[in-house]
Amino acid sequence: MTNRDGFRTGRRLIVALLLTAALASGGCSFSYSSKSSSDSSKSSSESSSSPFDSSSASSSSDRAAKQSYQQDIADYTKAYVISGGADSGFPNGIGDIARKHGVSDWESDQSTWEGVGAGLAAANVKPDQLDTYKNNWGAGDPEAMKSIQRGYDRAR
Amino acid sequence: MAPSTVAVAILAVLATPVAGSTFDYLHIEANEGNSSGGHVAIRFADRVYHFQHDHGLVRLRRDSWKHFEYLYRTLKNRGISVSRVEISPETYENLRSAFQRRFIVGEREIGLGDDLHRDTVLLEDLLASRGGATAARLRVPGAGFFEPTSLPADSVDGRILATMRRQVLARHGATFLGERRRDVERHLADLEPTSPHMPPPSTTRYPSTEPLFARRTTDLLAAATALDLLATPHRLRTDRLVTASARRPLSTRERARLRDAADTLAESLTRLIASRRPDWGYPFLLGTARLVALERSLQRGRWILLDALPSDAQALRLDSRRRHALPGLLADAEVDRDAAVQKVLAGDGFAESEWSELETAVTHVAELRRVRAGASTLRVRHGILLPRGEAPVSLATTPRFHPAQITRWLRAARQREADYTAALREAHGYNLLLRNCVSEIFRTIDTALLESGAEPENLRDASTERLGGYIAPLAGLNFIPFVSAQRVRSTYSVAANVELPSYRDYHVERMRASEPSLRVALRESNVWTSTLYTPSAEDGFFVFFTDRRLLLRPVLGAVNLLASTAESGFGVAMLPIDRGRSLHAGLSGALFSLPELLFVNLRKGSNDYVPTDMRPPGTP
Repeated sequence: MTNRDGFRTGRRLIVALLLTAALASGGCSFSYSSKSSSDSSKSSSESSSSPFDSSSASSSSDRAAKQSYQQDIADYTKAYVISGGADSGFPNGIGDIARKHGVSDWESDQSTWEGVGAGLAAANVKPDQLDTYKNNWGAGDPEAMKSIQRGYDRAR
Repeated sequence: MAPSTVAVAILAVLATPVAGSTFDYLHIEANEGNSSGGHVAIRFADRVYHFQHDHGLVRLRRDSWKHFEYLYRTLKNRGISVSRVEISPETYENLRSAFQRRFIVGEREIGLGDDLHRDTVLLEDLLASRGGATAARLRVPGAGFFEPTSLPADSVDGRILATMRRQVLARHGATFLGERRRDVERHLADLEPTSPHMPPPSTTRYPSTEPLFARRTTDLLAAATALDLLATPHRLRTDRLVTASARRPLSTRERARLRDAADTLAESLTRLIASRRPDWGYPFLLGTARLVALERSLQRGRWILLDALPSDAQALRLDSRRRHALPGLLADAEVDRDAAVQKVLAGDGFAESEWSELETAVTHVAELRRVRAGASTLRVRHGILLPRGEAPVSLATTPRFHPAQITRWLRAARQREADYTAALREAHGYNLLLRNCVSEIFRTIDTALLESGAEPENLRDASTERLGGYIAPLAGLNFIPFVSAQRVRSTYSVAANVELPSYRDYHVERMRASEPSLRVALRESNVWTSTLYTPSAEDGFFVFFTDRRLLLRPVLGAVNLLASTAESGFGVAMLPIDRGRSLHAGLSGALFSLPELLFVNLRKGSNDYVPTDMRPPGTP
């Protein structure tokens, strides 16, 4: 047996052993979080498997936090529109996302509406369809409708 | 590699990948417990996506890079191999968007399963209460901020709520509250379970449904509670409050800032009460509780905030091993709190996310101080928290259904829940070989490519054009995390590969630079003399670290096996005293010693806590 053959055999053996170990113990990370509930704080989207890891992750800048929130709202809006969801279910989904960013009164936060506008643009909603969404989701609030338009224009 | 070289490499890779032109494929070494087969993840800018095995399902998780790295590399002591892949901005957005959408869809599907379960539980309670066994009650968020008994209108809290009531009536008209109340009562009277269309689980389609029965009931009861609060003022519960600092009174600047926040919040609450959103009750109750806390702060001259931890937060029993971490944890929490205070002081109006961050940080400090003062359990929960203020509310105001009708609904609800759970398992059930943390990353990449115009038969070409090559989700041994990392390195357009050493490896290297290597090797080789390891409550029993001792591994593993077997025997004797803790540690230690006999290391040892000044560079 040459050195190269020996190396290959050794490598195969190690792979086989690791495979056995993986099969025995189950690959990939386990989540120890309990089954999530509609209580969003429980169905945390962030994984945490260390008992002492309860930091608030508060060191992100205002700007980064706002961008992260808007991006989540935009991505949700896009997914919702593309899936053809009914209007009545839309606010609950916004509420679920907002809660994870520490926001309960999401209607007062113009970032929400700008995110909605950006999501509509990402979902390729045409300008002539935009008014329907603005009226249905902006709840007749002129500020909200303006923010949707702003987010939409910026993302196109 | 010398420590300085390691540090440079770390700093180079820890610079956030250029958003829009690179992503990182991460392979995380194995360790006992959490992931003994290794783990993989994909990172776009600050966000890391990774699939975890969660109650039989493959669930996509999302973490900030900072949190992910701290958790896996520092606390779990697992090295991370990073492969940075260069792509075009268009491909970047396609991939990021596909992972993000899968995350959103997956979270909602889990939430939908929970909503269905809540429907079943509510109907069971309704049925039991109709039988006279119990009065049905539903836990309603926001209903627990205020005491159940009313209070005089001339009390402090009473005056704040009376002012709020006047502002609402001035804005919406004298009949507004009565009409709003009748509207809520009408909806409560019309409440009954429906048979919603349940969208089949998917990895790409958002499962949009009408709000389910328990959710609608909860929303309406929260709205009714909010309107009742304005009609009859109640006192804010003091056991729902935490204080930032008892020592220093509020400065003039802080007072002005709190007044500004209170005025802005009061204004937004008068708008919120007329909102069309179905779940306005909880945010209104939360905002009102915050307003009262703000006014109390101004009155008493110190920061008074709502306790942010939910009633179901994990309560961690602190033994002596965990108590040693308290001073460091408290110092970290105080840094977080000070940063959150500064953020609020630097802003204007009432920015709710900043306020939630402040409440979260102040609550963690208060909780740690409570434990330092002698409490035996520590409540913990990660992330920015919104105070929930849940309390049971009677369902007396909901319609009284006939028990036979409730029984029919309950049967249907149970069936719906069982069907949906089965559908979730069918679509997302974990399978070591066919659906795991590796396969789902490459499946999601395939989805992104297909959605951006690639034809299924040309997937390989499209991947080669955009990523430099194609990796099939199920081909060969790709399902093994470290094999998949090798595939990425040899297939994709990888611009850089960097090894981020685990916490222990990083420090051992540093020690070798300033001490004789043999001394470091001997001292750090075992759990008794190591200066880098305090046995974690979650680790099994072992003596020697074997992760960097390939040739000696079987010998050291045999010692570990003998020691952990002896510990198991000791654990049997200790069963009545330590409730199986030693036995569990012994058996777990023996299990993870076995691969060491065959030159395979899984166990690295983990940490409950690592002080800030000991964390490898780049970690928080």
